[in-house]
Amino acid sequence: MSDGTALRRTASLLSVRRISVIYLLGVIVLIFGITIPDLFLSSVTAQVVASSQAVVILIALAAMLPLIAGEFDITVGTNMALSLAIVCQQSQAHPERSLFAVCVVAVLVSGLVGLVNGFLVVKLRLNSFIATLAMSQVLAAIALKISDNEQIRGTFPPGFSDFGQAKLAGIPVPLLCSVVVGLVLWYVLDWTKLGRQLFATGMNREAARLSGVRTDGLIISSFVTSGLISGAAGIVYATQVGTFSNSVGAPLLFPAFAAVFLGATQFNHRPNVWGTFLAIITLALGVQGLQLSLTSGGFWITPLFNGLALIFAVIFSARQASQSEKASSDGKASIDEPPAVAPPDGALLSETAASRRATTGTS
Amino acid sequence: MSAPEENAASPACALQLRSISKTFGAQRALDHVDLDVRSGEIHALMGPNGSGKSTVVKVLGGYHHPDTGTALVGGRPFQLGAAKAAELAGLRFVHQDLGLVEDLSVADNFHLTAGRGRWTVPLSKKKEAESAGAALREFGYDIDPGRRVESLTSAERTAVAIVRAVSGGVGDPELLVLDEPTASLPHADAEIMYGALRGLVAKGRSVLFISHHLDEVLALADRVTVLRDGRNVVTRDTNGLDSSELAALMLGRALAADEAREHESASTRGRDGNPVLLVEDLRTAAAQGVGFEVYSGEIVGIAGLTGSGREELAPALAGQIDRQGSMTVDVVAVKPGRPRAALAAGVQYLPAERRRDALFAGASIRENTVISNLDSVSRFKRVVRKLERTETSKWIDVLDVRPGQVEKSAVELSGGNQQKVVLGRLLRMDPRVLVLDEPTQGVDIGAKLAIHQLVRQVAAGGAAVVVCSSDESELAALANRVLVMKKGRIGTVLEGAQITAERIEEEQLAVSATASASPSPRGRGLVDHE
Repeated sequence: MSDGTALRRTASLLSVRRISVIYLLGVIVLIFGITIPDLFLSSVTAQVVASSQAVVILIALAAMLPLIAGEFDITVGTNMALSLAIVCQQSQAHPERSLFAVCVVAVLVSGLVGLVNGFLVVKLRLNSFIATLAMSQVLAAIALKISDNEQIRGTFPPGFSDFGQAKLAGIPVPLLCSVVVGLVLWYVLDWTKLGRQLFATGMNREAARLSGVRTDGLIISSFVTSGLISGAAGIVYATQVGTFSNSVGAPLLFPAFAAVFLGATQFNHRPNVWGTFLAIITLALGVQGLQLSLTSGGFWITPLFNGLALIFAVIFSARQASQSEKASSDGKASIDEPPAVAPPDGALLSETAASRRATTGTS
Repeated sequence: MSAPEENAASPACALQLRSISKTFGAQRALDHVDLDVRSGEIHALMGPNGSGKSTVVKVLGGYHHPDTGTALVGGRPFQLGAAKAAELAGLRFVHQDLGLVEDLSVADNFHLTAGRGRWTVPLSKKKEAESAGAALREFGYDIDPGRRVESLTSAERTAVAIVRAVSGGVGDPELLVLDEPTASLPHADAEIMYGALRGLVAKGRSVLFISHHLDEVLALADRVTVLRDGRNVVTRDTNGLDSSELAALMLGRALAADEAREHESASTRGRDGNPVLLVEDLRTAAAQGVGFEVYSGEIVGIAGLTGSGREELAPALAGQIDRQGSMTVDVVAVKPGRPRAALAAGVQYLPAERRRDALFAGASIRENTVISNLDSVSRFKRVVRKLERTETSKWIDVLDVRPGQVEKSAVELSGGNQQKVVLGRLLRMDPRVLVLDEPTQGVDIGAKLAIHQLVRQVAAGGAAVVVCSSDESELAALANRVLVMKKGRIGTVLEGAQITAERIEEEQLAVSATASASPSPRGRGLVDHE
């Protein structure tokens, strides 16, 4: 009896609906492990993926917070670029200044951008998708002005760049930074009142407000935190690459959001930290494997794989969710509930709320 | 159980369903259900949540395909489970949410379902408006087709949805199917709709409607079919049926003594000491200076038509909407327009729009319950799952939520159980003042009785309770005192033996007869074309 329930619990914990991306990861490792074992199953692959994805992870975590509160933050990529531009330009123009202080200022500026985003969304009641889309252009303009439309190679002390290449117990330090940020967010989101209230705000803002949640403050805080993390991502990028160019930042937007959405189809079917991590690593390994399989010119693989993986994952998750919803709504209790009032459960709860708001506009 | 005796091909029947069964997974939703709606009849379909009423409607509308069963519409065989066939055969549906697009005009909403013309034919705004206006006038409604639906009252919206259903579509409308059309209408507004439906059947059409309101069914329907657990219980004339008999048919048992008290008036309570809740000169957009007081242990009912200010009173007390005027709880003033201020004063509020304002649909029963106070289930600033589960289980037991699984998603519960979960969220805060807005709207009779019982217990525990409701029998069953709102003020105060559903209804209507500024619902009644 108890064995049976334990078995069932294990089975449901391992169900494809809960952890489809882990299975995808397994399939990727299996396929490339068999076809190109020498290239794929090497420490180089692991190193490349680990160090190249550290910044993407940070940007994704930054995008995730406002998304949980039911709002989009499109500025994450350009906000990171702004912080990078400030650090590179300042280190080049004023090498005498403390690099640490410059970094702190750059991160604070990104946080300030988040505050402006939050103000536009909460106080002026702008649609977050539109407001942050517009802000991302403003930020791009500021970064262009700072850089004078040229590449800026930051003049960093050797210790700074070493940081970006350093390893601790074989793990790249930038990735460790992402893991630390991830751990903090995971604890706050899953185990504190603050996190619970943030999710409540994203699910039903009015219900949360009437339950005593400071929804406005939480949304603004989520934007500010998102800005701070984006700014920090810019610093990490500076330690790894050391150069600002106009093409940095904005292209990270898609992989970041894709990872959050894909991650939200995992585990508890809400945006979550470890689902996001898992999604990024899986996508990166898939891309790496495909690029290694091709003899030449695999540069177009990345966006193709990312895009298709997101579409299939969401289709899959939505179908699973609708099936399980059907199964449960066939339970006696809810037969009389009209279908019109049953929202799509599971997949991307806050995301659907946010995108709904984006399409209908704030009224 | 009650196989009607008419000839199977009788044209006198607008709709005949024979032996409809539908199984979802392991759950049998409909078990050989028969249903006959005669031509020119208003037929009610009743049953507790989960009895299969809505499944019948969904099978008719082509949303579900039945496992077995046959159907005749107007004497002709009809293919179940196909939406197009339903429309061609002349079945028209108005669902509970009415299916209107708020951002569009009345005429645009008519056009959405009109289904005529190819997409290449340019739209004529003027023609659309004319045809929509003509259709509305035919039913005696003077509603400007150019108005946006969001500016209409709920009564007008219901009217638009019904007229649209009957006048649109391909083929002649044979049978109008209404799924809880009056769930959000105060009685007097519902009366206008009854007029329209009676006019419809006078023209030889038929109406099938689902309702939770016993009194409505008794007043409107010629015959009623009761389902329970997916089976026919009875089909009979409503003549000679009373509401407690009907309730017993639905529940499958006689009402217990305390439940039977539902149909009597609550007694007046003695008032001692200071009032718990004191409201003076409260003003909102609709309320024009409302003052009253509620004592410990007292249940005060607020009645009134839509537009009387009733619907803004509870949100104003809870800080959901802004207000002017003073409000004190235990002699301490409560700041307006801030839910947190009201909560801090001990005011707990159940909003009328459960899905919009109260429920976290995608969250579990646990998350829905503990959100009102997370500190009590935390240790060292960390929310502890075990404490959450213990707390939630406790309230699941108190409120008899079914299924009572802590991690069950709220969206999977029936309306009545969702309402219980929200109530549990409020009651665990041990409210000093409990403000309930339409507490049993869209809730089946069993859950309704249970919720009423709980509210009485909360009052008996010393809380001050305010119940705003458009359901007069609910106020009659619960309240020690009923304030009838008129034109934004409190018009009449009913106490003790004065509190009956009929009296509350009369007082509300007396208001609208004297209200000259707002259009009288009575005056907008049905125009007889016969």
